[in-house]
Amino acid sequence: MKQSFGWRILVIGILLAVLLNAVPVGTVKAALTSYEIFSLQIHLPEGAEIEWLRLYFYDSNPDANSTAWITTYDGAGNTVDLLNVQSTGSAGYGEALSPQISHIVDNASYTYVLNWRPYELDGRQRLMGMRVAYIPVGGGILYSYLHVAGCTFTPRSSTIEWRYPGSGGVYATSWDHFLPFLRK
Amino acid sequence: MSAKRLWIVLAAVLLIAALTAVTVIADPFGWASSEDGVEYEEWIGTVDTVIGDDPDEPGYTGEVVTSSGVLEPSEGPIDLETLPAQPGSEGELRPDEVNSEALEAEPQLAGYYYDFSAGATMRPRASLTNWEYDSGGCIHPSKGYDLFTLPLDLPQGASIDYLRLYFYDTSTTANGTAFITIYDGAGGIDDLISVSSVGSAGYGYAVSDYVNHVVDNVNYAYVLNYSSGTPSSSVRLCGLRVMYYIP
Repeated sequence: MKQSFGWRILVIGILLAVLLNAVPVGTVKAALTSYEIFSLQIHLPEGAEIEWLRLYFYDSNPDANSTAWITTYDGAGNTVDLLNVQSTGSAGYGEALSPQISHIVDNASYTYVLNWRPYELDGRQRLMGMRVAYIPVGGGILYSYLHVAGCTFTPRSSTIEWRYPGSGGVYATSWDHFLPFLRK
Repeated sequence: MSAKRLWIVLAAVLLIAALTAVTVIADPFGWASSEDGVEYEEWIGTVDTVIGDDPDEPGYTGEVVTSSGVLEPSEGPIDLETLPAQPGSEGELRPDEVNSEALEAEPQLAGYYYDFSAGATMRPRASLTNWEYDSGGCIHPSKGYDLFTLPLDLPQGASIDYLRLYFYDTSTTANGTAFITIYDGAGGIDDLISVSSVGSAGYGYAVSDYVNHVVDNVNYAYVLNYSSGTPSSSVRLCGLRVMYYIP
């Protein structure tokens, strides 16, 4: 009787370990972690006019696209997404251009952040870079560019893992270590 | 089927149903805003709506308090290793120092400027500390006490005047503290200024004393540091704003 009870405890323990590790990675990973945005602080010249955001990506996932934003924060909890742009297709490397906007940089009131959200936690969706086209004060019609590599972005919360795929990119991954809930 | 097996099957079905419901309700593929999926709370605190009532704003005519130094440094003496006082410096220009005083490609006109960074973009300087995003660009450590850091890139020769800390603070016992710290790459550090959150009323801001430091990018790296007094969401870093002057 005692021996049988010990086997059951062992089986339950193994099932619990599998549950704690496999279930978050599998069934509910998107619901729990896909809102974990990657971000990068940017600084643009005062008075410059933001016109475009170009997203450089790698996308081989036919079911989902990643999204990039330029977001402003005022330090008092208020947020405005100036524009967004999505990756397209599933043919691998590509780039996408946002709609044109005309936003005058106001560094006294706002801070400017580049955000990127992958909708899949694997290497099929990668951020390779972003490029902001802006016109400096007195720049006429000539664009200046702020061009950043994807590998300089980091997640907004430490509950997500990320990897470097090479070529200056970055992608989000699921928890892949033992007992993730205990570590995070 | 025995009653025991029935319970096991029932529990498994309930678990799968719950996980499916979470996924469907969350609808991660329908999100379009950078704040989707973030839990919002009732807004509390104070916001700066008057321009000119603080010393780091144009038009201010009140008293200016010059900093007398940082009382509590961002690094204790035990954190510092003993290194040779001067790394190899032979007093001659190296290739990356030639014409270091030249203007940048896009020179800024003389005047006051702001370097405003979101709290959400700062990261702990050791992986022992975990962090979580709150909302509105704010962040807090969820485990650990390491400082959060971000490079501070200012034009050569600019004068750093003030550091402003934007925070969310509902803790009656802990406050967050922000620093501007300079490193010389040879183990030497100096906290130029510090400013702490105050009160426990929610969102707010605090302005440092007058710094009056001239940026020297040849010899120092400039870093924004932030120390949260508690690893909880009751004290959050929402932003750091440096006011500097280009003569």
